[in-house]
Amino acid sequence: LAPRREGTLLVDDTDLKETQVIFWVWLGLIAVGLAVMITVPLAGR
Amino acid sequence: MSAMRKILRDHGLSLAFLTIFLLALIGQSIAGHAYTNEQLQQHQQLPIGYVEFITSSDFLVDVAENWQSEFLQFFLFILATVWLVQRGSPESKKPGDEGLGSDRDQLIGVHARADSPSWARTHGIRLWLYSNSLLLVMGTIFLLSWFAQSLGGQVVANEENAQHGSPSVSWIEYVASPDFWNRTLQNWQSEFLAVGAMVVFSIYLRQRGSSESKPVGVPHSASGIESE
Repeated sequence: LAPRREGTLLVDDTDLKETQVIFWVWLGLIAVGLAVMITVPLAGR
Repeated sequence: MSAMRKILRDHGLSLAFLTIFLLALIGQSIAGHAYTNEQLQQHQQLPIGYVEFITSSDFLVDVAENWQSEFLQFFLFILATVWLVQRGSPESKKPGDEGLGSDRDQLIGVHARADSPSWARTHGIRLWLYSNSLLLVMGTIFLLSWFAQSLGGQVVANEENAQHGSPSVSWIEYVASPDFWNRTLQNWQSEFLAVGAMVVFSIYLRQRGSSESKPVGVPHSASGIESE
């Protein structure tokens, strides 16, 4: 199993910074969305 | 190739979905605002502004109830595919491979490669956290979205109660109410149906070029890992 997986999961770390930015943008967006969806009702709006 | 074109090509999938997510959310807010004002007009009440609408529980409860069901869907799918298989599905491991896999297969501990994530080389709680990080994050987002739905739904329900002269409900009363479970289960049923359909349809049907499909000529009996 492992060698075949290695064959399909090609490592290319030349764009690691951009990929990390994409990851944190998604996580940040969801965190902001959750924060808004929780604080607005708690404020009684 | 310019730097911008390279970024767009390398991250096209996530950027395309980010774009259509934002467009759909904006569309939902515009349609929801118009619908709310139609309802207010029918009840001889003054319309509300767009900003007031998108910062109201009326709008946010609709967003939250859809978020929770989507993240629950992936949470359950990630969890279920550890322990359950579907023969022939590219979404599944092959029968016999159920379970967490060996440290060697998972490239963890002494089996980690030089380019493995650093936490794959650790032990104890850090390795456990990283080994389950996808499930933990999806599950946390599901629970927080569901909690947000309950809070927003309670505010909306109490607005309606006030209009009808009914007493307001507590949060506990709201999460036990038919409204909360109607909003919840109508989303869950569609997610479970779609996931099940994807697992089963992908045994016999193909989409040439899609990573979600087996290659067109791969036999129906081949499950995900076998077809790679």
